[in-house]
Amino acid sequence: MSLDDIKETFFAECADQMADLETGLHEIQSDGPDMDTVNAVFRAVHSIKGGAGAFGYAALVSFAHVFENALDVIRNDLSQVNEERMDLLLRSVDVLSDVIEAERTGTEPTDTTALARELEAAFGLTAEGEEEEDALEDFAPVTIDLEAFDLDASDAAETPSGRTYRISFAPHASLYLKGHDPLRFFRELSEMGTLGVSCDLDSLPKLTELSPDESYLKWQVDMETERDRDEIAAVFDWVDGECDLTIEEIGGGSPDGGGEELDDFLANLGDDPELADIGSEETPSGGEAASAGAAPVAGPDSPPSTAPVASGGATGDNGKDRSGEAVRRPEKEKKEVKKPSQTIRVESEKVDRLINLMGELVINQAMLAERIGQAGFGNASPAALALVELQNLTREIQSGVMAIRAQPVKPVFMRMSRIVREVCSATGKKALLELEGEHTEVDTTVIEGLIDPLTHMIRNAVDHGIEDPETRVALGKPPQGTVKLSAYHSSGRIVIEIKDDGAGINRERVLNKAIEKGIVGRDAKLTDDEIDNLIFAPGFSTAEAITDVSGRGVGMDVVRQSIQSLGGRVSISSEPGKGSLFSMSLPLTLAVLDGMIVKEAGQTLVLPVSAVLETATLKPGDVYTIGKNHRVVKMRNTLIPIIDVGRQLGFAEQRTDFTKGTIMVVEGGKSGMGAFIVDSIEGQQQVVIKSLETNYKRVPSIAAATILGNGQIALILDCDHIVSHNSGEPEAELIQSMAG
Amino acid sequence: MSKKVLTVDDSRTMREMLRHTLSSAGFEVVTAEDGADGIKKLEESQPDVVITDINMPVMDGFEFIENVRKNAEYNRVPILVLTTESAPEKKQRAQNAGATGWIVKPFDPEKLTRAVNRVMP
Repeated sequence: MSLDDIKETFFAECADQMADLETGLHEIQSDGPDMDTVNAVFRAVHSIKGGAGAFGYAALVSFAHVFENALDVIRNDLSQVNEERMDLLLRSVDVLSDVIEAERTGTEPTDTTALARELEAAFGLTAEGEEEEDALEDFAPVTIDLEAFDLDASDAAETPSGRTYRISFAPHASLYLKGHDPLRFFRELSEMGTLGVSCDLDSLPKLTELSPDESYLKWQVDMETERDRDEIAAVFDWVDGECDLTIEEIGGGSPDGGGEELDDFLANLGDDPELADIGSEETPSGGEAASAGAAPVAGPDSPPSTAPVASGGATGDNGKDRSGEAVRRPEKEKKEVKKPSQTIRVESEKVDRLINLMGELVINQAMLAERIGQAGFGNASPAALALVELQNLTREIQSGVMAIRAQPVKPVFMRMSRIVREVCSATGKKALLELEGEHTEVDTTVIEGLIDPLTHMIRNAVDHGIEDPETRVALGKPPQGTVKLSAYHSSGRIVIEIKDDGAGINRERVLNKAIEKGIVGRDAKLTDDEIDNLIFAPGFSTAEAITDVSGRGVGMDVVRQSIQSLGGRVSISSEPGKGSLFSMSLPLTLAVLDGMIVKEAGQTLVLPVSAVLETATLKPGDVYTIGKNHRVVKMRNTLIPIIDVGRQLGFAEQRTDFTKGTIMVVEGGKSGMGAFIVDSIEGQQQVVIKSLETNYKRVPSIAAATILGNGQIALILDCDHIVSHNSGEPEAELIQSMAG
Repeated sequence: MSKKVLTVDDSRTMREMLRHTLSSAGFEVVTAEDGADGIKKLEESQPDVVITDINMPVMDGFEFIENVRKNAEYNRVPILVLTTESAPEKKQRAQNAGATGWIVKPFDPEKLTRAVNRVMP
């Protein structure tokens, strides 16, 4: 993995951490703080800071540091949480996410100074300057100063110049407990100069009195080196408090170390078999002990239960007993540890490939079914029964493969809370976003397409729906409004609802505006529901004045269009004074589609079931002709233009008898409804969506293609486009060649 | 045979950084995602040196070190603590738990390698 790959990993991980962070803070906000959540939130920021430091993202480190300190205040005392502080923390999440994005794209990071100051003030942190100094002070002693042992060390050892130090080193028993080994200190010192080492065995008791848990050896090291005292002391940095150590300069001259050279000494410690035969003089030195991997040495200050004991033969009975306990305890603790579910990260391309193949399989199985039918096997024939098995398996594989790409809508929902905060601060309104069903899963392709329409609707809900705090209080509502965003599965689709407790739709104003803009006639009689739905009409905007927040040239018509392009529908219901409810129904995936299979002039076409409102057959009197070629049908209390699909797409002659076909009333985006007339409806089935754009090129009126069981390509109609481009004239000749 | 280092860190980024740095320095690297995973990997991989983070879910670094030190077979393995925690009491707590040494994040690859070599048996 290259450094760039690791950077990518870092930003991917940041996204995860941000989601955890936001979720955690929301939990704290709604359920009050608990230690686990606070710890998780702290860890998220902490990890981001750690990684950012590794890549030298200074702006990110510095803001994450302040953020982390603020969270630390809560971590140390849960009662420190209050509304103002939570608000600040949530704002900090937004800013942190901006800073991460800036670092990722290499753009100028947002100025975080103001917010950092606010955090410091609100959480009683020291001013930034002091804080950093403190941090540096804290950091200094734990930094390992390895500069002292740079690569010239060996040269230095060969040409010592002048200074001689005498180092007395008496390890406490606890030193060995921390995984240290005196050998390694000498090894390191030997790289800095010339050593003379002598071991003081005076405290060594008789073998019968020797306790393997004690430390009896002391060393005196005379060292000739160029280095200064601090550099030598740095070697013993990690054993501060675990040994008695003195380092004194004893002037020039050759080292006086009792004659034993380090190498000899080490050799003796490690390998000399005679050493083990010394009997009463046997040395339970850390050096030997650790290299043998099995020396029990307990510090006098360690409680017996935590004393590590060896499994080797050097252990006494006493030790064995404790060994048993020591082994059992971690095992017991392991059981208590909750194991998080194992996950793997896979490139989305690999999953896409699998989904494509799965599509091929579905098609292939449909082909096989057709062939078996053609071959004249009965339904109870072994071949047909085997096919049923295959169909069951295929269905299971299909849902399994789809489940891989299914993701909870949570990340998108979490983004919405930021939108609510932003709109609130821009408009001076107060609103809280409540989430429900955020773990509901849907295909990633759908999730991506959801972001824009959702953002717009949430923004509208606060900007147009929620009243300002004073008005709300006057109306007897709480000053803070609520926007509830929920998701749930319903008959193979996902339903997403946005509900606010605001003013609801001002129908009078909507109707007047629609009349003013010529969307409806002056004397139109519309139901409340129809008036509410006018806000989806193209070019409609209810905002009296264009505010900072909405009025960006995007209306609800665009929202509806983008939801429709996902194969979804959106509807609104509203109660004046009580609020509005936007409801979206979307497919779970864009890889397969519930299709209505129809026949027209010998061609098979597919319409998305979601677009079809109703089907009907016509009686002679139902059809009215307007102008030369425009025919309409009166249905649903309105006149719907009849669209002769075969003629429109250019592969059939103009239909003369409208009673012979089947009418399908289709919801078609901006232009409202269209009554598609086709020869017959063949049935409804799931079809695999194949992009026409990728495999051929974009064709107007055609959304995509699919492959039917007989191997034929069938086109999936773009109902929206067909309805809005219904001119009574055929589309380009191109379609004829496509469908032919 | 190359020496083996077990790294315990909940951050994927940090694990990759450590793996990158240590394997370039010629060490064999085993990674674990938290203290509990670390204990499991310790027995499986029998490392020469362990590097652990402090702030981790499931089992944090302090607990992890304590558990390693309680384990009769691996209680002598040197454990380096790699952390951004700067508070001296945290350092003291890690030392009391049985940590061998400290490295402060962000780490410099060369310094990290030297630190590992410094405690390598």
